[in-house]
Amino acid sequence: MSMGHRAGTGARGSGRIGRSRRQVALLALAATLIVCGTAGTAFAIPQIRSRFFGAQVRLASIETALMENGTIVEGEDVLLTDLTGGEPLELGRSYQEVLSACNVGDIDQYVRVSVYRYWVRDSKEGTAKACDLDPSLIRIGFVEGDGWTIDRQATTPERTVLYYDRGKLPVGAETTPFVDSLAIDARVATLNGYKDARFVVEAQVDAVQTHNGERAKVGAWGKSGPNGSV
Amino acid sequence: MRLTGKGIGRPVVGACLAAMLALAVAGQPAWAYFTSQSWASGSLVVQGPSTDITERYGNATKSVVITNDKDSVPVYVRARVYSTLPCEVSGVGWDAAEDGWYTYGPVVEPGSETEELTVKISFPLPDYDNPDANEDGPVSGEQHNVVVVYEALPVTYDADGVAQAVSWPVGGGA
Repeated sequence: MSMGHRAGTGARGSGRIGRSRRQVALLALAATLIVCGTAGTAFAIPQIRSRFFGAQVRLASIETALMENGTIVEGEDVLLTDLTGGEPLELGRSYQEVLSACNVGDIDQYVRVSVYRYWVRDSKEGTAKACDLDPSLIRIGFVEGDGWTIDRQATTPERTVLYYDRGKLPVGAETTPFVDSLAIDARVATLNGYKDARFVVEAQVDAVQTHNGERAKVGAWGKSGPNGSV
Repeated sequence: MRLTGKGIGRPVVGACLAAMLALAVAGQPAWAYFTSQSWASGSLVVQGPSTDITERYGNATKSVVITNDKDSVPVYVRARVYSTLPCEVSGVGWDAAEDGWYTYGPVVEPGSETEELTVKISFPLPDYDNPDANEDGPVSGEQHNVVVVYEALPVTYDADGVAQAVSWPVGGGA
């Protein structure tokens, strides 16, 4: 038998012994842990107890509302229901339509609004947006400078975005109006395509908490104000 | 560099972890943890006029009346006569404009109608002493048309709701 062969045989033999020692060690460690774990609980005998102290934590609620002529409104087809008092719409006439926002939650908030206007046509197939009709003929009287600032960068012929620029809106407080009138341009009478068309006005109020307010506004709205950082 | 073996995947994994760490540090945390939204919409129809024309004919006279439906809106009305025969147009409340249209002065309210617009057709007698003058004149048995068309325009108002004077489009319709 050669030395190399003997050495090779010896190496295999010491390897087996090493593995078995490791296995034994691991088993012993596992057994120790099990014993310690179960044995420890046997000593957890209650000796004394205090009175039960309970605590309840309620998260603050943030909630905003849209108001039309002093009444909270929400949902589809709830605006303009009494604009003309039941009479046919008179082209060119300016009707009173007051829109504002209100803080109906538990914490102060920052507020912005987005107002949308567009034309639609009703047919047997359903209602479709009339992209060929000019939304600027739906003249909405925005109130700028009295608590509201229009974001010109975000404003389009269909959408107008306004930021409440008087800082925090306290709980229960109502903003100044951001819209005070509505009219349909008289040119509609002589332009093609507007007969029996329907104009739609949508208003959306967004609110965010005032804690870390500037960052919160950027996180929620993409910017902190009409001229704010992005 | 080999593309197999467990040692080769470590640089790739390490690079991904480094990128994730960088993004986690550079990315903005969610500061807007409390938000609220409220939305409402409404719509109204811009009602167009709904009118109709009725006519009577007799004794070489055509009489027309324009009626505004009761579910319509207040309108201004004007009419025009197209005829291959000479006509005389008249009517109470109807005024001749320079462009050939006859404008009805009062506003026609829903459910009401205009006064009659009368078109008296004249048939010129042939001139037997001057036959050349009759070349373009009416010929016995020939057919002629007398057509009356009209336009109705919704009344418009100023911001205070006062009705404005009518401004008819230039050129007129058919």
